Amino acid sequence: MDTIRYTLAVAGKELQVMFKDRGALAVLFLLPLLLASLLGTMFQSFGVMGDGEATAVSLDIFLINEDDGPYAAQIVTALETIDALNIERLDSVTEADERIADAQALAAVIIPAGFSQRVDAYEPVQLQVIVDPAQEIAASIVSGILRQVAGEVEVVGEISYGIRAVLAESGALASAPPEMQRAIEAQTLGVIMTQLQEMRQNPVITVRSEELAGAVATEPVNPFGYVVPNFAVMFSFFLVGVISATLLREKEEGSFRRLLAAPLPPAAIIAGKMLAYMLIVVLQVGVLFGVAGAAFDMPLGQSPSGLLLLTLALALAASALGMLLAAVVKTSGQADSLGTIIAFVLAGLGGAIVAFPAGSFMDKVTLFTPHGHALRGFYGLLNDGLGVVDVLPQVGAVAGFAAVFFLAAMWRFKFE
Amino acid sequence: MKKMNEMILEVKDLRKQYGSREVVKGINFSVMAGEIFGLLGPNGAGKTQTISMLTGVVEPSGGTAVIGGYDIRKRMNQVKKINGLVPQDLALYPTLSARTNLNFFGRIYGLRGKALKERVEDVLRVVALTDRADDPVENYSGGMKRRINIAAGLVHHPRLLFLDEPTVGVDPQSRNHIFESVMRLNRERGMSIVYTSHYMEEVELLCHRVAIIDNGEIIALDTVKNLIAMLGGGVIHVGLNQVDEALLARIRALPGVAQASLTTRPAPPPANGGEAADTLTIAPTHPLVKVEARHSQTALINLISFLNEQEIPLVSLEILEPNLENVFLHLTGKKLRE
Ligand SMILES: Nc1ncnc2c1ncn2[C@@H]1O[C@H](COP(=O)(O)OP(=O)(O)OP(=O)(O)O)[C@@H](O)[C@H]1O
Ligand SMILES: [Mg+2]
Repeated sequence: MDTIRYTLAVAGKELQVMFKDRGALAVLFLLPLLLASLLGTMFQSFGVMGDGEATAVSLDIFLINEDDGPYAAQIVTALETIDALNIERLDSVTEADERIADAQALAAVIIPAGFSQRVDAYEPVQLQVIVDPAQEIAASIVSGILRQVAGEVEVVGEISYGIRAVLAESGALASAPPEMQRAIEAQTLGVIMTQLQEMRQNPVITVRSEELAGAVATEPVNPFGYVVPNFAVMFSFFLVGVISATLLREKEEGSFRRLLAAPLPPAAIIAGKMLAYMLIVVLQVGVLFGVAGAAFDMPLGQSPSGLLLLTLALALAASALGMLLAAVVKTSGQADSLGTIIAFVLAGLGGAIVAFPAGSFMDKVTLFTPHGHALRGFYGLLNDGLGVVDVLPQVGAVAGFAAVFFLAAMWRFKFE
Repeated sequence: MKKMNEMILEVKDLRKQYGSREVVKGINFSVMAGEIFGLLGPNGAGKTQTISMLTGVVEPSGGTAVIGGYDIRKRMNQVKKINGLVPQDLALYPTLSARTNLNFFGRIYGLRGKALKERVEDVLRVVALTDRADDPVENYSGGMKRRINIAAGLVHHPRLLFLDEPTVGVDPQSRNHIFESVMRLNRERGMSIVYTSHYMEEVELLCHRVAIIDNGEIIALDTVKNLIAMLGGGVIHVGLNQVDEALLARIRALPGVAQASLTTRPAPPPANGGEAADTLTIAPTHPLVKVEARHSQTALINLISFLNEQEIPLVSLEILEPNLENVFLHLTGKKLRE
């Protein structure tokens, strides 16, 4: 009975400290929300996820790139990976004009000089498209594709702007060294770019083509049902660094001595801390799913109890891994940076950044991370209408990871 | 004040070892209920290690202690309810307010509800920080942080309070305030206090008895008065060109002089020098005679006129003021603080 009260006291204090840390809050709550909504929206506008057939049409277009910056290069790559487009690179606009008039292509796309700079400066960008008015329908498809591709580039600019804004707004990260801030920004941007690349190459994503082929579009799958759990799982493990750093900071600053000198059982110290962070994971997942459900119609499935159970297992795994990290590293600084790396690596291996084709080697690798199991569970609950019993294997697997992390942590943890 | 014959703390051959290094070497002392007991020693002497073992922060490597009748090796949980700890570092949550900090530190001692609230308000009054209680601790001045650090060790009304260098880096005003609070807690609430410091003035002012600790060992333990009396009527260091046993015997015979001996100690390093042991000091080219006086003024007058009569040139002369600083110097040949 007393142990429970002590545990709650420690958990309460831990949450109070956490809610004063605006930097950590921004990373744990705002960032995944921002990223998930941007990415989800992008998926929605770029294409339909589902079993749609790739279009068989081939459209000839010219491409003139007058910009030598990175975003122009991205647009070129993006256009080149679209099967429906047959692209020829030209050097001058006049040549394109003449040849379009000659009906040698449907349209010409011109990326003006200074394009990348403008994206970087978060200024409106414009791509020029010259079309053959005689080929109205085909030309409108080209313009449509282009709008999306350009939109995507703009979104990348927007994301990096957004990350910067969140980091700046949070204030606390301002005290982090600039290399650290840039690293976080770059890492997050890296994740986004990987997902974009994936989105283009993944055969299940096709250009919306109903009008042209006249075929009935397959029922669209809400991309948020994948993107949001990905970010939820990925960002819940960002707590690993936070947990271990706060614990080590307590040891460094000396408040841990007071805990040791007080008559509360050591188990209450550990349990209290873990309880607090589990609550934060539940909040994280709750906020993400809640917002995505309300704002983007993300399916929430049939089983609230399944979601809760899986989330609790996830929370346990993340906080136990945090304890483990605290038990093996020496300083709070190490905990902070190692925690970030662990979060990204596990997310990558676990399939939270890029989905691996079913049955592939990497798909099997995901099963060696808590992420892989948690994601399978969430996809099933959200998108396939599974119930709590159906995801018990996943819940069990994630809880198993938690147990292993926890035992290893207790084996290495030093109270002194 | 409580009757002074009840023992609140008895330390028995307490040891702490890290690897092959023994940092507390089997110390013994006891503290009476209602007593303010000082642990005086230089940096690294083992004061914090001793307190940490007595409060359950680190495990002793050997020996034990009995606090309030409970053995710390067997009944630490009972002991923890008796103890209050004010760590040397500011052991607080800087982003939380003073009141939130105190609330938490009360809770982990099992306090709650109305009792907790009253205790928190009470200790805020003791350290005179009620007005600022809702500000985050990180916005406090150094002295205020120290005061709230002390308050956090008081919320549960400990019977035995360990104060580990509570005045480090504190301005004179806050320091006086801390002294007053400590004395008031002792006098009005009968709290027994173990007070560590390397400022002898503090210990002289506050403590009934003092253990002088150096290198993990207690080298002297007594009341401040008796410790100072170890210097007798005072100690005078006399530098001469040449000393032999005959001369020492004649100095010993002078009125007011109790003892005279050739000291092997090199002259103390300059005040700004590093640690005595690490500093290469050029030993004085002349021998130094340590004269322990029964009465320093009488001894001094007689000593100087004796040297005059004998036409022995006086090379240097130093009178050691009778204080704990010089007791430490007298006992160890080192200065308490560099
Ligand atoms: N965790 C540890 N591992 C190894 N040695 C330690 C450890 N903690 C303390 N020591 C050593 O024990 C010795 C005594 O340290 P302690 O902190 O008790 O000194 P102190 O008297 O409190 O000094 P100060 O006045 O500087 O606070 C020091 O030499 C210190 O280096
Ligand atoms: Mg110390």
